[in-house]
Amino acid sequence: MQVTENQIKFIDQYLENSGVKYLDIRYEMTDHVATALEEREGDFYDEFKTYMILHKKELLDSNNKFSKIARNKAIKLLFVNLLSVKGLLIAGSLFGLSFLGLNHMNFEKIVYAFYLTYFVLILVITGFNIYHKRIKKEKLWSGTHKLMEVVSFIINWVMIFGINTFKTPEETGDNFYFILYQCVIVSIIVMTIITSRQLMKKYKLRYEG
Amino acid sequence: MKNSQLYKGSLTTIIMKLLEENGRMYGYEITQKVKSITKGELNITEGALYPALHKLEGEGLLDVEVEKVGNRLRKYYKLTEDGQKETVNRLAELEEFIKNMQTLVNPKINPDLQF
Repeated sequence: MQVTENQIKFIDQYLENSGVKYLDIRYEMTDHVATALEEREGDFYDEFKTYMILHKKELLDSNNKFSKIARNKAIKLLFVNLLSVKGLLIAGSLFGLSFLGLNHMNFEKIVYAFYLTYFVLILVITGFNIYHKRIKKEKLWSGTHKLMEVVSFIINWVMIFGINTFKTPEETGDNFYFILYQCVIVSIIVMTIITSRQLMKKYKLRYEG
Repeated sequence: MKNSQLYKGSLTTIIMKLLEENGRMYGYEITQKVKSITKGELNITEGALYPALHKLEGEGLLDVEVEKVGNRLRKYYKLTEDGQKETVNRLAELEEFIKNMQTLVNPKINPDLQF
């Protein structure tokens, strides 16, 4: 049988509803299912139902493993970027500026500046997501989304830990470590945004030409 | 996959060998090729094939090309330069493994190893 355009959309929608949320994974799975169905004769929906009864578990299993591999690849790329000249320059400049800032403002203001930076970066990430999801109506790509998920999770916990640890840094003389710690976090957030953009460009080039 | 525990460790080598012979292939094509070569004895499931392909891609051993075929996108895999070198190594390892297994399972075949 020949699988039509609408039937391709049906397969894609079915996979999305079944939990295969990333577009790059669905492209490959949709082609796999459609090719398998094209080798069969009979009604599309009957054959599709039979195929899914036999293979759905395997497809979902493959989806989970693919998501993990995409996450690991994205994290690896983030580390490569963090250790690149650009990444080290960002972290180094941030650290240098913060230390220079200590000569012109008190420590509380530096802390305030860091939290303001977080706020701005979170706004950038939210804006990035809204722009791609709501305005450009783009679907999710596995590596980009997984990276955002992992980094957001880690940063939330690191910030909670940081607030408690460095509540009164002046009393404990921890200025150096506090600034180092904050610079690392800010650098990770900045490089996550850069890596996400890099990944998104790669996905678009690969799948959209 | 039939006898999955026995075949599992060789899956990536099987994929690489097929890609070495056929240039570039897509997922479903690989499953069908394996099925046809083994006359239906070995069936690679989606749950085993795609993670193996993505792992090899992540390791830089496979390259990906996406093309529009009919009304959908198709992802083709092919060996990279590193992948080609690695295929030679893995096939040599697999052959050595099979030879050792044969010796262990059927020692009479190799008279040198008989006591």
